[in-house]
Amino acid sequence: MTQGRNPEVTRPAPGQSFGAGRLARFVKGVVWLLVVVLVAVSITFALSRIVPADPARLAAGLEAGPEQVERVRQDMGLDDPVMVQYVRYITGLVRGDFGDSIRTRGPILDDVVEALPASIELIVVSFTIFASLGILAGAAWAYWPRGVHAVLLRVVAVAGSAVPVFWVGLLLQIFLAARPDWFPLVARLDFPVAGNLNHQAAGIAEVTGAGLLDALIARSPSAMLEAARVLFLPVMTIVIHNIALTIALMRSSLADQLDREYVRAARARGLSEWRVVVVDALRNALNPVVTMLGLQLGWLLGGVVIVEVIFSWPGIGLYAFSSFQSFDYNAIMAITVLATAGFVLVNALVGQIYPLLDPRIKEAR
Amino acid sequence: MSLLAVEGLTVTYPGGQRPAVKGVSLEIESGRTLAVVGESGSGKTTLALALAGLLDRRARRHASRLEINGEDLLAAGRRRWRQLRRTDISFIFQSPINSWNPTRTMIAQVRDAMSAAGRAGRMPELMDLLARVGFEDPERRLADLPHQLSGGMLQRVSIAVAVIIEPALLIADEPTSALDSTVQSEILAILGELRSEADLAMLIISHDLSVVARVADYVMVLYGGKVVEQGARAAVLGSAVHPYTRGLLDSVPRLDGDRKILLPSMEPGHLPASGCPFAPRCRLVVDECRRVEPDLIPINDTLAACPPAASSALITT
Ligand SMILES: Nc1ncnc2c1ncn2[C@@H]1O[C@H](COP(=O)(O)OP(=O)(O)O)[C@@H](O)[C@H]1O
Ligand code: SF4
Ligand SMILES: [Mg+2]
Repeated sequence: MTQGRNPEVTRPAPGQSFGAGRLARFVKGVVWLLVVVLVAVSITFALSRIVPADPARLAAGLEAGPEQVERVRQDMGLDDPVMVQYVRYITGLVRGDFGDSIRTRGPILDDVVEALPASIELIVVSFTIFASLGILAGAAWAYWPRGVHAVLLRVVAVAGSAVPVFWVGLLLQIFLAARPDWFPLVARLDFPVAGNLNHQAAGIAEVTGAGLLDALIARSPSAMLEAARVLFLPVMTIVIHNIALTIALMRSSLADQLDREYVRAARARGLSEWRVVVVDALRNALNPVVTMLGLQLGWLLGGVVIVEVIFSWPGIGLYAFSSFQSFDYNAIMAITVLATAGFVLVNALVGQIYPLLDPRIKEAR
Repeated sequence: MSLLAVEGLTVTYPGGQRPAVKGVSLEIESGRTLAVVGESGSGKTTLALALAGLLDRRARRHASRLEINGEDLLAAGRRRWRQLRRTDISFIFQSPINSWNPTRTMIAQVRDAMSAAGRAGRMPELMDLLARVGFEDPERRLADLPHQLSGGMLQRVSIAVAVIIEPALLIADEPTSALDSTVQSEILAILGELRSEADLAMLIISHDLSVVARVADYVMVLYGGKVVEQGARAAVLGSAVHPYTRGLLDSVPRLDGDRKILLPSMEPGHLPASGCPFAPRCRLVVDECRRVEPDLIPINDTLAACPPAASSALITT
């Protein structure tokens, strides 16, 4: 039993730890990000030199003769010592140069810039939906533990996380195959074209490359509807797979908070249920959920590959898949770097949310 | 007229072998203090929560009478209870650190409580009251998070927030058990002082008879969810007849250092299915005790649930 007596903590003078501490944390974060990315790059680089495949041979084409292959090898700098290649690659990266793609023959950066909006749109829309719906559903389940909704949510929570994501996607395709006019089974057939929505067909300008956003900018309701229709199946696939965890964790976390004595004490002081449940308990319950959502968002960076392949979604995942198939090692490394940076960035952002939910964390650092 | 009147209150938790509180009746007048005493698990907290409408949703409550200020509350809904807690009933919990949300500042939570009670405009008064109960520099210290304050300080805030609404009924569930003995005395003194100023009915709970003896007008002893003895303070302290109460009294350390232990210790929770709940530990037990569940009967100056004690009391007096 705690004695309920805590050492009196002296508070720092207001403003003291703010500027300097924050800057130091920020610098630390950036350095950390760079180190992680560098390690990831190095590992991928090393792996790409170990795999028994010859990029020069692939780039030169199947009918190329040995001299031709050698010339390509020299052009690509593949006959230089590995360390030289490594340094060249890193210095290229620093300048924002990811090298050229063996497959598309253009600069990889251009390919990535073209494919990224579609992926970001898919991830952001899916994440927003499963995070918000999951939190709401889990909270409702915790507060009203009995009823039809509880049975339903239990099914979703168990089934959703048990079923692999490709299975959900394929099932959705099979179920809806009878109604191809409702939702397109694959996003587009004329890949590669930037954006998930056929902008020309929808009659809107391509600004960001993300269909929903472009339709919004063009203020075209019909294009927005079309963009949503195109998004529906891949988004549903990601949502169904990910929402289960969010619901389950939110439920147990809030149920745990609602059992705490401070909730009863707040009720004893006459606080409304809204204040007690939302302002006090729900905010505290969000802490572990935010941790998990951060991890899920990180996994999505990788998980989106499968979904994009199933639905031919012209994003970075499909680009990665095609690059793997043709052993386009420059492209693979670029994607690895991006995914790693994205993962670290997401984690850093999540770290910024904790102190908002629990002010004790700020102080502990 | 009694401010609080309860008859036959029984509370059962799902899965509980027997009710946590069984057939409890009590009355408190304004300006009086009733102390409820019993060891851990005897149902004290359950009783207190039932009187403030704060029981778990899962708990089952039965009573033949439950009145506050003459208002019948047997059928009162959650709204009515909340309204009562805003204006008429205050509650002080056992653990000061667990009484407050760990992630919000004290001032935010105190403001919530004040506006819930419709007294948002009376913060200055609360600050004065806090200073009076020994909470120094309230304007500054309330900006802290709960864990930055000591248990004694937190309990002072709980008391001030409880008293500022001028409740008709103040329930304090072991308000000092989590504090060390110096702070314990200070808090008890504050409660006693505030009690004597305000014309409220107070129900104070403790597992320690000596603690509540200082502030109570009446004492009620719970064992296994049942009242085993009750009476005026002097009567219970001076001439209690129930073997359990006697055991409690005799295990209180004496000034001469002679501490007689008359209560054989026992695993809590092992209560008999029928008969007197105290029978397994009782030194006066007779066969009859295990068959019939004893009711409260007047013996000497108290009411006690122990027929055998009645005959021995007749012999000794
Ligand atoms: N929320 C609950 N759910 C189930 N059983 C409970 C709950 N609260 C208390 N009990 C049980 O009811 C009995 C009385 O508990 P309580 O009222 O807390 O006693 P006390 O306050 O005297 O220690 C105990 O056996 C305890 O285990
Ligand atoms: S009724 Fe019997 S068992 Fe119970 S306290 Fe009295 S003597 Fe003991
Ligand atoms: Mg208790």
